[in-house]
Amino acid sequence: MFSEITLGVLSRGEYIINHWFTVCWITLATIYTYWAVIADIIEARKLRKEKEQSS
Amino acid sequence: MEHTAPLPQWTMYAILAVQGIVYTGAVYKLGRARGATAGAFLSGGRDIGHGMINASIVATWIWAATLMVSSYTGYQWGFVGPWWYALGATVPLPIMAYMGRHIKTLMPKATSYPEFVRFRTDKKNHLLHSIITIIVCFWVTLMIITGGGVMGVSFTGAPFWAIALIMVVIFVSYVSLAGLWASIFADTIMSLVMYACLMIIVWTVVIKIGPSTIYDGLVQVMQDKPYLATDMPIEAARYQWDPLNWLNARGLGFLIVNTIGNLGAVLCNQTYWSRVTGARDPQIVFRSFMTAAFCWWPIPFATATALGVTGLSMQLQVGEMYYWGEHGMMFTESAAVAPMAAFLVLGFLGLALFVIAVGGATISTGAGEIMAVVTVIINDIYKGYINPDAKDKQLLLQSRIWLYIVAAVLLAIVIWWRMIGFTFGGMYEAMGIAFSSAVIPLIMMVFWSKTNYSGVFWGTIIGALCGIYYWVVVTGFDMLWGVVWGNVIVMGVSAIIAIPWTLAKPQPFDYSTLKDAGFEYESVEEMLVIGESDESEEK
Repeated sequence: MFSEITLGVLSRGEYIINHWFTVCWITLATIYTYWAVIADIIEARKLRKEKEQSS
Repeated sequence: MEHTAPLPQWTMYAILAVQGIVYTGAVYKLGRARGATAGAFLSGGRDIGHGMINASIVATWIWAATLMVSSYTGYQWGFVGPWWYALGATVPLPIMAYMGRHIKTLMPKATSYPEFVRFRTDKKNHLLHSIITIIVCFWVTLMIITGGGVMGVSFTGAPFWAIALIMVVIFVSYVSLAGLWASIFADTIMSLVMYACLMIIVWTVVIKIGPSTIYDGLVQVMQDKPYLATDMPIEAARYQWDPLNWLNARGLGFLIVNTIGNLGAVLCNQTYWSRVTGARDPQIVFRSFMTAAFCWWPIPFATATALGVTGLSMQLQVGEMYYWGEHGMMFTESAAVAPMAAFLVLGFLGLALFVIAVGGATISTGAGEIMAVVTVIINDIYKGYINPDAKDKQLLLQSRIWLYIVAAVLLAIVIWWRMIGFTFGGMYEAMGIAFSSAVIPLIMMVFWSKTNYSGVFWGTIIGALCGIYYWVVVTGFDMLWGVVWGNVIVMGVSAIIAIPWTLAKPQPFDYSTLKDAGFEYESVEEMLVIGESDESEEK
């Protein structure tokens, strides 16, 4: 029954794009998360320095 | 050489010990000032930036299930399983972005979401949501400790009670030092570690096997129609024969269950609202939940495609022994397809990376959930009803005492259920039936100024009762389509009661009255300064 369904079935090319899409997306998410944490650390240090200078 | 547990016991203890020492040591060094007052302990200081909040939401929303169940969906329904798992579980995050920003703007002093409910509506709704969120957090923690423990047993052979005990000790040790901040800080480290582990797995699969080979394997499954998931009836297992179809029927059913179930698991879960409380301002809340949706989606999506779909394309059969070199590993159940595939592709390294990722997911989520239970007990029950005039020291002491009590009770239940053989099979899919009737009423309270208090109260209760009745009595715990309709009924009935009730009998509310509302704590900023000066004196 199921193998006879063709509506919505992926071709080889579409599947390859789908697979690479997942790989690229997790790579971007990893880069963003690392970048956001590093930016947070830099900002927190900056705020602490400003606080120390003002006090 | 055959092993029932492919990794030695010491690896489990080593992974947990390293995590425990790193988190506790780092929290002690960097954040113990946050444990100086009850306000800071419960609110995290309300000054945390976007990077940590984003990473914390991602880590908290990664459960063992995110990696195990998502891969199972890929194994069961082909490429569409990871899509629907990721979509259904990501939907709540943008909704939280809007709701969190709105509540943080309306009521900046709120420490918990039931506290918002109390000042927005009345005591009966407050108590109802306090109870719901405690049950949600408790249930989630039970599921993840059990899931993490079972995984540890099957991969390393370490005793279940020992793994569960060490995990709970780790939660308590660093959370008791600095409360919410400690939980968010540890989440941040854990999310960075998890991303690194998953990146290695995902890239290795694409380089070593490649999408084209996986596609060939899936076409072979369509032609051969093998009975692979022998741990389930053939009616359920036959959906594996349609692995390249967007319209895989069971996959679509799972999308409905997953979306509704996860709405309840996030929106009625204080753990995520704690991230709203801890954030510096409403814009950080909005941005962090939106970016967390972007960053979280590919975790189950890519992992399940790399491991679950690949496992299906390899035609891995439950009950069979598979080998990496001369080392064998038994494929015990469909839900274990991810570690099985990781083992076959990367050997012991793949398994170790997977154990680190799942162990980290368990610890970060478990600590956040325990902290959320303590927040509601202290902020909403103890300060709300039992001792409204409690001094800061009393509240802090009570917070720590309740942290230990909650942890001990959780541990006892987990070990007891394990001893009597209670399993969580299917409970992830059934989650929505228990929790999701409160979702529409809560959204109404946040955005609709005329919401009727009794309408949302009875909508929540009757919605849940109708869904539970349908699933338990009418379908007899049917996990195929019964659980899908149970989820739809829960949410539909709550909306059908709460919305017309409000239209018929609106109760106008002025949101501006919430600006200064909330339970009073000693100044968080002032106490943080005291904490910091204590530290500098010690130095």
